[in-house]
Amino acid sequence: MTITRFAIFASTLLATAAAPTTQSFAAPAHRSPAAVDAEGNLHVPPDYRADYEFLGTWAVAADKDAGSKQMHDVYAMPGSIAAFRKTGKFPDGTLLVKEVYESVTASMTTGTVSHAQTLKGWFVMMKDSKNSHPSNNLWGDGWGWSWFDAGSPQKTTSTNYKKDCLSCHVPAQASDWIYTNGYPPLKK
Amino acid sequence: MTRTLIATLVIAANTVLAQSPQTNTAPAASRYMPEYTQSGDLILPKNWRSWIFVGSPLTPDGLNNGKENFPEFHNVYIEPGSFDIYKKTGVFPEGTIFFKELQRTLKPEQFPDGSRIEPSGRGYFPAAYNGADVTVKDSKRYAVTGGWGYYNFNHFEPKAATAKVRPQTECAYCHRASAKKDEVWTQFYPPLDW
Repeated sequence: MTITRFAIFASTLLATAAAPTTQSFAAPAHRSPAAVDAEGNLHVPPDYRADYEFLGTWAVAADKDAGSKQMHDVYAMPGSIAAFRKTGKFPDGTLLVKEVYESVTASMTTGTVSHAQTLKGWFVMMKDSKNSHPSNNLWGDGWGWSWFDAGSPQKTTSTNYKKDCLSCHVPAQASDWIYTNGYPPLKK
Repeated sequence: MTRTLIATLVIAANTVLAQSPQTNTAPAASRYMPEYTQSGDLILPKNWRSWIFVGSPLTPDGLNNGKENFPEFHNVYIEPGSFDIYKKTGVFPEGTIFFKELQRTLKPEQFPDGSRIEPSGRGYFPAAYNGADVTVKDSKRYAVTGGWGYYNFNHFEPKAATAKVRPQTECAYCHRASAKKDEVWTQFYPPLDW
């Protein structure tokens, strides 16, 4: 009886503790399954806005007009910043999310300002030093790679990371394909 | 035997409990509310970088003769518990805090508009932190400025530990005139604009 009652109590505790974990407060190990399936299909992690760490915004300069034409807001899975600052690497399973916005530039009271306007989509990367999906064309060079159009966070339009993704990352190859120097929170 | 089992269950439960707070966001149930000194100044909020990031408007030096009011990236965060309520109700609840952390762009500038070229291309890249501004919603405390209090914690580092509320003429008038929703520029922050 004592055991039964306590078991129920303990289960309640577990359930109580687990509930917020699955909703928005997951530790990295718990977050991964929602963002990748057994075949290595990546998804935009649900609730990344609520629990991911903001790394920084890069504003792409407009070609002709002043200011920025695109803004990229980059987020990392909870714990990533501390892990990187400690080891200089992203642990296996680390997810990075980059939102890509069309931005607009206008003269406002506080100055000429560029700001995000329309979400175009997301880049998602997942660290994988073990080459877990050798037959999947979206995995390799230590990462899983995918682009998602806005409105379709579950299904990537990328088909081959070497063709679709890698070329823009070549300048950052020495830092494991990520522009880690560009994110002040990652510096010690 | 019984004790062993109970002990195991306790350990298991504690392990889960101990793991769940491994986050940067405060649980929704426990909001971080504004803290004030005895004289009524606002104390610099804690842990804002783990709050909900909503956007980063940019006023580069190069486009503003280096005289913009808020140099240069404006990384804006909302307190997570307040964001949860806003998502459900569409209303910023009493005690809502917005934290605008300013951040310089990477220098030196290479073009008249303040941009420079990095390996990824030409643009504006985040560099040193540069002070902060904070707004707090409290309809009674800030009745004279429309229900929001406006604070400046320096536009340089380190941020001030406390700040005095700014007068209507300095911040609130523009927010009241042109911000889309309840003195908040939701039109510039897609996560808040719906």
